[in-house]
Amino acid sequence: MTGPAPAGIRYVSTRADTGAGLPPGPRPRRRRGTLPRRLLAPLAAVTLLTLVGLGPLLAPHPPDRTVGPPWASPDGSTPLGTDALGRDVLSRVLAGGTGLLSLALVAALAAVLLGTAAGLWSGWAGGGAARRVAWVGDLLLAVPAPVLALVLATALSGASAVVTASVMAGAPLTARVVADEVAVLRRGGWVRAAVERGERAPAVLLREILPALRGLATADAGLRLVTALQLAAALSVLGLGPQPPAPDWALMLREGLPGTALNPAALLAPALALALCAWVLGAASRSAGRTGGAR
Amino acid sequence: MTPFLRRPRAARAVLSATAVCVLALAGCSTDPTDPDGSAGAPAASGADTTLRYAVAGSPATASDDPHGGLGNESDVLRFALVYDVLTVHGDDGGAEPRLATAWEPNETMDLWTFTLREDAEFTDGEPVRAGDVLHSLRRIGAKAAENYGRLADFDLENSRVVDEHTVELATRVPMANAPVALASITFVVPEGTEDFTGEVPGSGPYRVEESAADTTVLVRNDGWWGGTPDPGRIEIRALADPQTRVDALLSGAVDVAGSVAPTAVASAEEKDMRVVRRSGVTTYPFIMRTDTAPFDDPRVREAFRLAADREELVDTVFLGYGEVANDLPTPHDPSTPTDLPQREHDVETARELLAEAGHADGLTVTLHTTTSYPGMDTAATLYARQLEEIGVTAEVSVEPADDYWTTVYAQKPFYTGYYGGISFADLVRVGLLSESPTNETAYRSEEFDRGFEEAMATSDEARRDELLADIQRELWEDGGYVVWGTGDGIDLAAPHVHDLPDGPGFQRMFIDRVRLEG
Repeated sequence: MTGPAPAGIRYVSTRADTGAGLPPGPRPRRRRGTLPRRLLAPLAAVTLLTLVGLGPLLAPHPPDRTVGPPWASPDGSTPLGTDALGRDVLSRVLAGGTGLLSLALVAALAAVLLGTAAGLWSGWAGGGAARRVAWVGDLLLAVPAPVLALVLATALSGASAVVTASVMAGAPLTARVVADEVAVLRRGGWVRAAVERGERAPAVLLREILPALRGLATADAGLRLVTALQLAAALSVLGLGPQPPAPDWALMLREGLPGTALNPAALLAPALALALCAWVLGAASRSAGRTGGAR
Repeated sequence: MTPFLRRPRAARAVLSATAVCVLALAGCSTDPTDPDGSAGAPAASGADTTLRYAVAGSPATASDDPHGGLGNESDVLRFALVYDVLTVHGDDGGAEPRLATAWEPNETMDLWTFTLREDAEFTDGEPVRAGDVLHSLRRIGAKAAENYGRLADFDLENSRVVDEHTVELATRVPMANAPVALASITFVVPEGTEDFTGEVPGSGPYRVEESAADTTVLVRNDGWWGGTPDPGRIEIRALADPQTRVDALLSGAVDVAGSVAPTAVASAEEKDMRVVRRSGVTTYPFIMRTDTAPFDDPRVREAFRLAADREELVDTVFLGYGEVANDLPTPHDPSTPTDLPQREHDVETARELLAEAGHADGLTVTLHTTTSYPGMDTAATLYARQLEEIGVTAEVSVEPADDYWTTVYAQKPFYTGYYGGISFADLVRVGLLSESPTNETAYRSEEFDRGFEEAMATSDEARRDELLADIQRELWEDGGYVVWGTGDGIDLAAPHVHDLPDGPGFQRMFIDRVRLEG
């Protein structure tokens, strides 16, 4: 186990939540869940991602055009009312997730890929290499991600700050979980058999161990995604993300706040959209973690 | 869930809790049958009326120094109640007596003799003398870097104390409006005071009883020369967020919410709150630096002015609580010319002008703005869209409010400004003369400078205003401003609060005439 890390709790909950990465053998009972139930969250996630991706096309009005008076209450042509500039809130919500989610996806993917690579290597190599990787990881984890992102955002652009901070704060966590799992898996019979056959380490890692980590990595990616989404939204609310008139859920939160007395939907709609995305994606990755990982 | 979503709600929950506590306290200490209170008794005696005023301010930038930047309204409100000033703004834009009872210039309008009232005394029992006044003015002069050279045109080294109650103020240039320039900001402290961390005696209508980061409790100063203000106690609550101030009022935690957004009016009217509209308070001009391309070309500036759909801007940014303006930065100043035609929204001419200036294929600019004041970002976003119509791509950049006024204001080529009821002469001094400390439009016109100098040397008020109007005509023609409208300042008050001041500038801070009734 690695040193006393501040994020140790997260690490434990990742494993407990996913239940993935157990050594091959009899799987736990919960694998026998009914099919529709098991697929509920992933299906919801796919639907949501499609909706967010196609959202700009579904918007009834151009998201940056004035269609009514400022802060108008919901009515027939504007089901969620209008915002500070009289723009249609529904159209803006539909158009406002693409950028945010793509950024979060890129950030999460980068963190998981780097973390998994580092975890595979240090878990396989063990000993001094593992300790060094853990040491670097602890060092990175000592800096709070939001602070890191804020500092980076002043030097780089908001988007690169989100990606960099997500990687620096996320990859070490992924690396830990993966390294631990690899250390267990390498003692497994089929891995030992492959080694006995004379296969080289990279081949064993790629062909034997990586597939067994599928569920774990998916579950972990979900967590990284939710964190990256929050980070991207936070920077955006602080004005370090997309600039007006871009429709962006987080920017809409800030823009909608002054009008809560007149049209609360301008604030609530993007807030719910953000919350729903984080929740559904988190749940989906967890259930994917449960079903995946088997050999 | 996202943490920043929870914040306002948490703040509101805390606020409601505070509201309940404060209401309970107020219930104990309010006794309308004895509006005068018992002289000098501590506020907890239960015989005083309390006015609780939620005002813009953030503890992070709070200051106890009345001669510094005056960036926090909560500080200014406290200073206005605790210290006396030489003059205050009158309803007509002129100066009215306060600590000074009379003033007289010399022939050349560069030496002013102010006579002070003799019955003013500080809370430590010392009388207010001419030396105190001169010391205070000199401190303001010395802190020019903090207060944008507020008294830069006064030659305070060559000003002098004539006798106990007479002070002679020299100005560097003829300055016909000296009494107005001194209005509402010349807070007088005892001679020699440099340290404001502790208690400093004032001679104003109230004195500080308790001071904390976000709440200051003032009690009536019964030794004040100006009569007995109605509220025995004033609690100043500094709340940075305008909506929080509204919530505090609607929940009964305060009696007045100062400087709120127009979005709050509807919900306040539903609850029978009093709405005080102070016209011509807020201006968010778009400012072009006339020394930087493409704005060094007057045709581009004119095109940008013609691109503004002023009605749409006023209706959107101020929700209609305001008026269309005509590219003159201080439309409510008494000197502002009224004979200039209103510049209209004219896309076609604007496009022609841009083409003449060599931008027929379009032009890309960055319009900087911030969220310091409600609607600044909305204004920029909307105007950027209007600029699209004349073929200009304006990228809006919303800068952090913290350093906007030091890194963007008067530096970037194209940005959103803010005026809160400044007079034309003051604006000229700090921002329009060739040598102004913060020349916001990079305006350098000898004719303009000369015109202003001449106006300031003119004692006849009508003639002076005509001269000032002339230089404003030049500005209308050639300046770096797109002044599309002015928004009303809006204060909300509980029904029992009467006579809140409704002037555009700092005079709103002088609330010693407020009555609490019913």
